[in-house]
Amino acid sequence: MRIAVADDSMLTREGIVHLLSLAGHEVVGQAGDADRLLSLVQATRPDAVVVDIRMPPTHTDEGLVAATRIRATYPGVGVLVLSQYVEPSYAIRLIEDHPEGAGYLLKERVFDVAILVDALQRIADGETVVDPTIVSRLFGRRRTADPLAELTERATEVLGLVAEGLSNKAIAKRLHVTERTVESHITKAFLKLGLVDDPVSHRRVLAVLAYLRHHGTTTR
Amino acid sequence: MTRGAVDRVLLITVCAGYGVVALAAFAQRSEFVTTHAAESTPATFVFVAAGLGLLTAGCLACLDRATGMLWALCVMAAVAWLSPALVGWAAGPALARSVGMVLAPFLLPLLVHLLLTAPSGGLRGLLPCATVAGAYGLTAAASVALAATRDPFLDRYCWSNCTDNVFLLISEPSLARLIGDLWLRAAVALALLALLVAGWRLVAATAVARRQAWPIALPAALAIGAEIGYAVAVLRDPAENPEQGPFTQIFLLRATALTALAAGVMWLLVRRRRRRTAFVRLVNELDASAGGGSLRATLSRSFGDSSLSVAYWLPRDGRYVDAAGQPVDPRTGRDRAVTAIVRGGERVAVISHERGTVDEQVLRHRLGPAALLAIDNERLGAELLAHLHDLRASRARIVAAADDVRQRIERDLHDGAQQILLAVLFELRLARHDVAEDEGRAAVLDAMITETQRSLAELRALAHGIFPAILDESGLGPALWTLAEEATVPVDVTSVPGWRLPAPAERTAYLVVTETLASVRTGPVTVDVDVREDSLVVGIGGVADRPAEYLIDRVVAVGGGVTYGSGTIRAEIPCG
Repeated sequence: MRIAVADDSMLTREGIVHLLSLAGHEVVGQAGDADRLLSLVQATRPDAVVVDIRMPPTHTDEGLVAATRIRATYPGVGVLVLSQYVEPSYAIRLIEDHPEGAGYLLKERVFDVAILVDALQRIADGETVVDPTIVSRLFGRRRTADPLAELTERATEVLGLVAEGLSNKAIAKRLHVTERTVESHITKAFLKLGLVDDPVSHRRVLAVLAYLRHHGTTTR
Repeated sequence: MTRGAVDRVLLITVCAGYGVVALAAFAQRSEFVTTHAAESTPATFVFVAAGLGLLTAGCLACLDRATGMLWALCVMAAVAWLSPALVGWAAGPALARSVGMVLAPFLLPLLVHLLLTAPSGGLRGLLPCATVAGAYGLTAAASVALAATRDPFLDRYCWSNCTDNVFLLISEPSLARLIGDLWLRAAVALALLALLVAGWRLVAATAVARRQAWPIALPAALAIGAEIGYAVAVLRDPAENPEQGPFTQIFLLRATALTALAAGVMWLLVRRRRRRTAFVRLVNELDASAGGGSLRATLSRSFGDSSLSVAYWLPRDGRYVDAAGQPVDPRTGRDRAVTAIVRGGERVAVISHERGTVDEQVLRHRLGPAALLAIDNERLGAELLAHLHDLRASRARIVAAADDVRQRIERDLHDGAQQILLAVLFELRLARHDVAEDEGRAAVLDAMITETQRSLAELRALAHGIFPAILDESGLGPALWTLAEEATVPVDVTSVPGWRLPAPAERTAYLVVTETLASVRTGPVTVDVDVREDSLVVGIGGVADRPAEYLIDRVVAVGGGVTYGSGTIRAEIPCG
């Protein structure tokens, strides 16, 4: 794969480049800020970009803004946004408009080369990647009337993996069950939560995340 | 008596004496007609009336210091106007006739001066100053040059004084004629210029200034018009034959206009006096117990100047504030002036007003005890309010500074410690990759990796607690959602404005919610944020305890307020 890396911290940037070359990927260029990343993407059209959310000049959400622009302008370029914050709103902002081919991971997680490579592969395949910490944060939210409590442990686990952006096939593989079992868990869980199962996997990611975030706090 | 007062009395005495001599000379006149005033009884009457009127008006104006140079211009105009009578004093000394001849032409520049200073008695602006200075300069030059060269004996058109000129240096009849001719033309041009300038000035002036100017400006303009007519008539008929041409009518017009001018000056003085008396009564009746701003209202009403404002001087702070304690900057300008109110040698307040509307003498010296008490009261109130504003502002600044420090600590943790831990983690991962075969060392590295990740997570939670970056980066909505996700009780964020609000308001609202949630033991809690009339209204339902004191302090510090009732905390935070 051809990959571009953007992070204002040289240490992190070099680290990621190093990991990517270890995994046998080609790094087509590096950028220290969003503007340079955008011109880099325009010039080299990589398969995917890895971009830090916090970059100059304001060190707030430049990376996120750049990722959204890249998704809108170059549908063929996947984006993996790295963050040091466990903020579901950032993740949702990223995948809201273009869920396919986008990912949001905690920075420390990508230093595990297996996770980095897997995430990039999934993004290149048009899937969505959401950091497990974000998903577990949303699952952990206190609710008064909690439909999630009525789900079996396995069904909850499957729903979590759906929210992380995994395909049925990948979930089956992860849990060592058949794809058919996964499908049945998802159908039951969705029915209980009142969600419509969308066969396009990246759209159901957003549905589950939004459900987890906004639903079932008070009985009204 | 002050030096200025002595000068005034001296000038008035000299001018009045000159006028009496001139009138006496006129009474002694020979059977020859030497001035148009002698042609008929009405002409005599208006001649005398204008002269005495101007003298009287000057004397009266001298008593009202606020009228500036008005008094001097009036008495000197009377001198110039009565001078022709002295010139025709055949039995009088040659010096008197010569002096009269020199002084008579100064009537025009004096009228120009009067017209352009009405009603304040002072000249402002380059063009009016230049016009007046030019008029005096030209007249003086012409008058002196004529005195030096005109030999009355050789003057073909000699009219009233055909023998005496004690100032004569060289007898040059043709040169004198040329100078006289040129002077008349210049006088016409000057008079027209003065009328234009005065017209422009009146058009540009404020309504109040215009209203006050016309009693002087109108007769002065009329008199200048008559002077123009006179000069044109003399240019056409140098012999000035009263039997022919309009000389008699022009003389009557000049005299009438000057009489009207004297009357206008006196009327202005009477009006000022009446208004002053009324004002003093009004100000002294000021209710000392009335609320702030009553002085401004009273002054503004009695002077008819709605733009009038009162600024109180706070010596300790070295600044001015209005009755509400808000800082103000009283400035003078083209149309605005400030008058200070001084007590015991110290400035207590200044009145900023339209030029010419306020009687400074009254404000400075004639305020009674009730008015002064009212001013003192209002100033004390203003000082108190000003300090209250200062206190509020300083508290808000302290809060903002504390917030900034928290934000900086969050950034420092993020950019410093967290980055270093990340780097350590990265190196550990690489090392772990290299020793994949060696189970013992791999286990050690795995343990270190886990510990480092735990440190990172704890650091992240710490930084978030100090100051959540998402609040400043994405606003109240996302920050409150994060709070709801982390809370130990169910939290329902029912509504949050989707747009950004000023940082102090957002931070305070966030603090109210996070501190309240931390104190709640059982849920569910509802959080509702709304913007109503420049205020951010935060409602937190399902709260068993009253809000903590420091939380209320924090909201009050940014100018808001907190109420609690039936399990709901309601905080109003200004965000305008």
